[in-house]
This record gives sequence, structure tokens and C-alpha cells, in this order.
Amino acid sequence: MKQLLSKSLPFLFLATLVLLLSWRAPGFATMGNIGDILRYTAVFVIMGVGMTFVIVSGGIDLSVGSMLAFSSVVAAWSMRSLVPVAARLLGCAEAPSSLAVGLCIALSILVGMAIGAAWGLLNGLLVTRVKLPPFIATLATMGMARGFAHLLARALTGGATTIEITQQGFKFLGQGFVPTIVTVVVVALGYYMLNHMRVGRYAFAIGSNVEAARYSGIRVGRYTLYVYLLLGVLSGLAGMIEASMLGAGDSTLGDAYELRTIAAVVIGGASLSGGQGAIIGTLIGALIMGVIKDGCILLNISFFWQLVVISLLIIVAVAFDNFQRRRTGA
Amino acid sequence: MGSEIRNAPPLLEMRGISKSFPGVHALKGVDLTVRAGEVHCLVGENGAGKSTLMKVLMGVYRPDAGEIRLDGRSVSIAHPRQALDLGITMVFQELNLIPVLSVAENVFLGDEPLLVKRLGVVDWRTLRRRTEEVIGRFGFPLRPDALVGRLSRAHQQLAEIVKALVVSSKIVVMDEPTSSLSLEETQQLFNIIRRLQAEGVAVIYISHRLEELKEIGDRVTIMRDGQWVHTGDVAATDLATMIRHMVGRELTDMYPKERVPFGRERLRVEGLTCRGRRVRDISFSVRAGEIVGLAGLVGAGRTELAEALFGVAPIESGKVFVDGVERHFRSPHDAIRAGLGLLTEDRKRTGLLLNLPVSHNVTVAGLDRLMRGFHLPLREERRVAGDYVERLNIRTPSLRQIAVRLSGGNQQKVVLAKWLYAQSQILLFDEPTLGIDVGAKVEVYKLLCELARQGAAIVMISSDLLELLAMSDTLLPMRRGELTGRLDPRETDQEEVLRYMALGADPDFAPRGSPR
Repeated sequence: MKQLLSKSLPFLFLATLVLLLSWRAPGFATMGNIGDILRYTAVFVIMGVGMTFVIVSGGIDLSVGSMLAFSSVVAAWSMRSLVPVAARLLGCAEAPSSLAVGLCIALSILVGMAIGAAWGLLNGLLVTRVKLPPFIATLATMGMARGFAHLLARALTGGATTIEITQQGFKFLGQGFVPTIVTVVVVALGYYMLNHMRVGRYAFAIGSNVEAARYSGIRVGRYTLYVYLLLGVLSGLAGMIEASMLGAGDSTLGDAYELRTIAAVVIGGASLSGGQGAIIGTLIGALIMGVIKDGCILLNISFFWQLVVISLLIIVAVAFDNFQRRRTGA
Repeated sequence: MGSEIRNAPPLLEMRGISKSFPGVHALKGVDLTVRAGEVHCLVGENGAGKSTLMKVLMGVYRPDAGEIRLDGRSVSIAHPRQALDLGITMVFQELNLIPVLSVAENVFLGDEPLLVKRLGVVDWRTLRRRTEEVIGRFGFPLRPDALVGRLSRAHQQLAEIVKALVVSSKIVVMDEPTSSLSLEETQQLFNIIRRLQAEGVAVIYISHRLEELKEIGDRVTIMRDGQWVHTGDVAATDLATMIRHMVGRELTDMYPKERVPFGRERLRVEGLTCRGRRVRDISFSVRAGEIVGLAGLVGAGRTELAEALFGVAPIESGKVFVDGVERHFRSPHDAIRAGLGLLTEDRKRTGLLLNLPVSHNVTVAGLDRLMRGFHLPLREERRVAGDYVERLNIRTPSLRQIAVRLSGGNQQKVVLAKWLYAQSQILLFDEPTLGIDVGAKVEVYKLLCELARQGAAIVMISSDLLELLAMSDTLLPMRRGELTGRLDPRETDQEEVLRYMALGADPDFAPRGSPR
């Protein structure tokens, strides 16, 4: 019973927050505003799902924000150069058919996600093969991805950071409830993978006790690689959504997103020492942060207070978790 | 010295101590009276409440009810610091040392003598000198400057003891101090305890090795299920009585050995060598239904041998055959696939997923059996885990309970359940009864026999010679990484096995490389 209460605490907090804001903040409880919150929160939930796997396995990934930016730039580049090429190949250079454009957009989205995947693979290899501590490995790849994103954007635009995406078809990904639908699908899949598939179970085992996991026959390296790969793919996907909302690929996107993503996972009840975490918790953690941000805007509270409040929240969440654990003697 | 002690006024009296945790009534009105200069043994099964009682004494837990009197004065101990100030120290079973610091630094950790009080400047000379004093007084084979991380487990245990002795203690609590010590080191420890006794220090001695109590103890207090059961002179309490009090019933047969006809050869090892890991030219084989016992002193290479077989460490040379086919295991994963299972010596480090539920722990090595394609059926998992909990009599409030909260014996049974569920046919058991209580030991023995009857091939490593002699079909003594003989447990005795373990095959022959 007590356990149930402490587990549902983030949810209760979110509910209280929503009730309070509906009462005090004008314009909070409107469809438009809620849609905004969900759209804004989507990328954090999507990356948070992947981050939950990584943190459950006892790791961490600081490179998610840079991966997001890098993949947005690459996808924008791909769209810019793929569409004309495809049009020429299909022999309708003047007015490319919508089918050809659609295919190119889909392909570019896949390219963006593939960049995320490749970067996740690199993270995973650095952690499992080179045996770098995850913090160090991803700190380095964070800088690298950001650097590559800037270099590529500059080379393509002659000095700017933004590559505009002119294909209107691409924008659907960031409009209306599309990001929310994508989020729901990712959350559902993530929930299933974490709780009902081998990769999730092994992530818990590795995070709980890596030696015992190895002695129990788990191929620790392989499954650790998988979780970083998964997070890479999801960061790529988040990059596509962010680029779609912006209508451009931009090498400055995703700044400090790694901290927000990790905060969502931790507020949702995961432990940075591994072996503990939940997808629904992460979802709630991200929503709490989204709602706080939105509430601050509506109530005209400075952006900087947001930072303070969310940071305090992290302290409270982790301190509470530690306190619980000490009391029950775990 | 018996009568003097008996007439001495009690140094410590704990009366009616009760303590409960959410959902558990850990101590129910426990009494304990300890006199100066006595070795007072505290025994009971895992979960009987010994450790909780000692944590109350050390100020780690506040009791819900009851009184503690020291030298006739009522005291309240709210913090470990206060216990230290009152002259109560504890040598923990799990070592609380910091590997990157030296022995002396560890000894004075948190209580460093200071040169300049305010600034926290440490007086290194005094720190070193006082450590040396204690080491010298008891003749420990330790250097104050040695890094703790480089010491053997036994020597780390000694450092832990020095830590307790450097403050002038009236009462020293020792929680299973011999569990990682060799026979010789145990004797050294007993000498130290006798010295302490002579200086009027009371020792509260917790151990599962009942034979030891006979040797070192004056009086014994037995606990069961959080309650006091019996206190009496060790000399007047025979082992059978002790066990009866601990278990709460008559244990008719401590070693329920069954002999079954052996089947085909399941594991054969030829000339196995891992020089870096103290394993040299080992050859033996195990048949279906056979229990092969590996005897040896601490550091003889038994664990290293088991780990090499299990693919944990690479094999330098030699061959391993499973069911007649040569195999090369590069990881435990390969070994498990071939039907091996390794119950490790250190269940907390390499056996259990400590903060995960019992059910996860049971199925982790046999997840292949559970999976339906890519789907992991949780209901089926709970059913499976529930079966094992029932079959092995694992005491846990629920399948969701996390492993670290179970008592030692029940943790061990969870690890056993893991290998049973993985259907391992060649089982390497490294100290399967280490640190678990008598009742759980007998259950482990029964399980070993059942496995053998079903055709499993078992290698059992143990430091408990009585257990090895009783349970194994073939006994292989090991010394410095080599097998020194092959004995029939029915035709040998402890003394002979010890001779093989300590000196090698030919007792008249001087051991290679004389002891340092």
C-alpha cells in the first residue's frame, strides 16, 4: 500500500499541478493550450523512453540533445538534395509528383533516424568495447555530434546554422496531434519492451548487478549496446519532430535537452544507480516539466524561475527516493 | 576460568528488547546478559534476529521497547558513535574497509588523531604508531602502510579487527569473523580472542559454525524467530541440543546423503591451466549422479578452477569435455548453453540481482525457457517462481520482494532456484552453505542429493570438511592450484584430507617452495 502510494506520487503531483493551474491560470484548461503542452513535451517523452532503458541498465547518455540536432541537419540536407535527384530520376524535373516527394520525405526521415542509430551505436561501442564510463563516452560524443552538426550546416548554408525545409509534406510530423500520436506509440512500445521483452528484462538485470547478470549468462555487452542504439534511434526521431515543427534542420537545436530528458526519467522514479525505472514514470516526469513551463508562461513568471523550480523538483524527487529506500532498509 | 566469570557481575544486560519493521516483528522481548571476560556466543538461524539485536546494541536501530544496562547503569544508545564511546565495537561480517586506503588509515577512519584540531590536520605519526601498537600487541601479520585493497580477504578481516581493538573496547561483537578465514587463520583469531578475554573484554561471537563455539565459547544464547530461546554454558550444551533449539525441531540427520548409481561421464577436464589464476594442470571427471568434492585451503585455487570451467576467465591450456564433446567457453553464456551452472561463493556480488524481485532472480538464467518468441509472459513467470518458492521453502513475503531483503539462507535458495530453472545438468557449487543456518544447510544437502538422483553431475567446493566428507562421492584435495590426490570419502578422515590440502600428495615430501 505504502509502496503503491510512493510509486504514484509523481502522478499525484502532476494531477495537483494540473488542477491548481486550471483553477488559477487563465487559459490553461483549453484544448489549444493542452495541445501545446503535449506537442512541446513530445520530444522529451520520446527521448525519455530511450533514456529510461539506458538509466535502468545503469548507464547515462548526455549526447541526446546533440544527436537530435545532428539528425535534424542531416535530414534537412537529405531532403534538399534528395528531392531534386529523385525528381530527375523520375523524369519530371519541373513538377515532381507528390508520390516522389512523399517517398523522398519518408526516406529523409529514415536517414535522420539512421544518423541517431549510428550515433547510438557509437555510444554503445565506446561503453561496451572501449569500456569508457558512459558519462565520459557520451560527454565526448555530445561535443562531437554538436560539432559535426555545425560544420555540416555551415558547409551547406555558407555560415548559417539553419537549413530550411521547403517541402510542406514534411511539416505534418510536427503539427496538430501527430507528435502526440507518435509519442503514444513510442510510449506503448517502450512499455512493452521494458516489461515484456528480453531487452528490458536484461537492462534491469545489468543495472541491478552487472556481475551477477554476466554470471547468469546475459551477454552484457550486446544488451548494453542495444539500449544505447534504441536511445539513438529515438533521439533521431525526436530530431525529426523538432525539425518538422521548426520547418528546418538546425544545428543549435536540442541545447540542454539531455538534462531535461534525464530529469524527466529521474522525476519519474528511476535511479541513476540502475535497476530501477519505469516508462510511465518518465512520461509523467516529462509532463510535469511541460506543465510547469506552460504554467509559468501563463502566469507570467520568468523563464528563470522555471529553471529553479524544475531543479528543485529533481532534488526533491531523488531525495525522497533515497529516504524511502533507507527507511525500508534496501 | 569458568567460575570466576560465572560469579562476575554482568557487564551488559539487554532486557526485553523489541523491534519491529514495517511488516516484520524482528525482535520480541529478547534478553541477553554478557559478563566481562567471557566469550558469549550468539547463535540462531538466519533471520532469527541476531544481527538486529546487535544493531540495536550498536545504536544503528532504536529498540521499540526494552532496556540496555552497561555496568549496571541504564544507557540509551542512539547512534553508533555513542556505542563506540561506551566501549562497544563491532567487527562486521561484510567488510567495511576502503580499499584505496592503508590499514592504518582505515583503522582510524572517521576518528583520526589531529595535530591542529580546528583545521583537521591529521597527526599521521600518532595514527601509525597506535596502529602498530595494536598490531604488535596481538602479533598480527599486517603492515600499517599496506593498502587494504591489496590484502587477502583474511588479512582484511584482521584489519577490521584491529579497527575494533584500537579503541579501548569493553565489548567486541564479532559477526561471523571466520567465514573467510582459513583454518590456520581461524586459530590465530581464537588466540586473539583469548588475549582479549584475558584483558577482561567481553566478546559476543556470532557464528554458524557450531563446532567453533565448542572451542572458543564460554556461554551461548540461542535465538529463534526473533525470540530468546536458551542461554547456557557451552560446555553443558551439546550440538544436538543447540541445533534443536535453533531449528525448533529435532534434526535427525544433518547430512542426508544418498548414494545413487553413476551414469555416463558428463564433464571431463584434462590438464586445465590458467597460470594467472592459480590453476595448474587439473584433470578430473564427473559422472551423472556423482558429487565430486573439492577440498582446499583459502587460496588453493578452487574458485578459480570453477570460474575457468564456467567461461569467466580464459583457459590457457587444457581441454574441457561436456558429454564427450570438447567445448570452449568464452563466457558464462556459452557455459550455461552447454548445461553448466555456477553457484558462486559470493552471492551478493555475483549471484543475485539485489534490487530486483525474487521472481526475476529465479528466471534470469533460464529466460529462454520462459520466452514465447519475443514475448515474456509475466503471469507464467510468477507461476514458475511461485513453484520454486514453495518447493525450496523460500521464506519471502511475496514474489515481488527484492532479493537483498531476504535472509542469507533464503537468498541462497533463490540462487539455487535460478540454476534449477535453467535446467543446468553440470552444477558447480562454490561454498553452497556459506553463511547460512543449519536448517537451510540440510535443505541444500537434500537438494544436492535430489539433483544427483536426477542425473546431474555436481562439483562441490567447500571449506567445511565434515560437509565434504559426508556429501561427496569423490574427494579431490587441492593445494596451490593443483590437485594433490583423489580420496574416497568413506575411507578417509578429516586429518588425512587436511594433510593433502596443506602438504600435498606425499606428506613426507617437503612442499615445493617453502612457506614464506
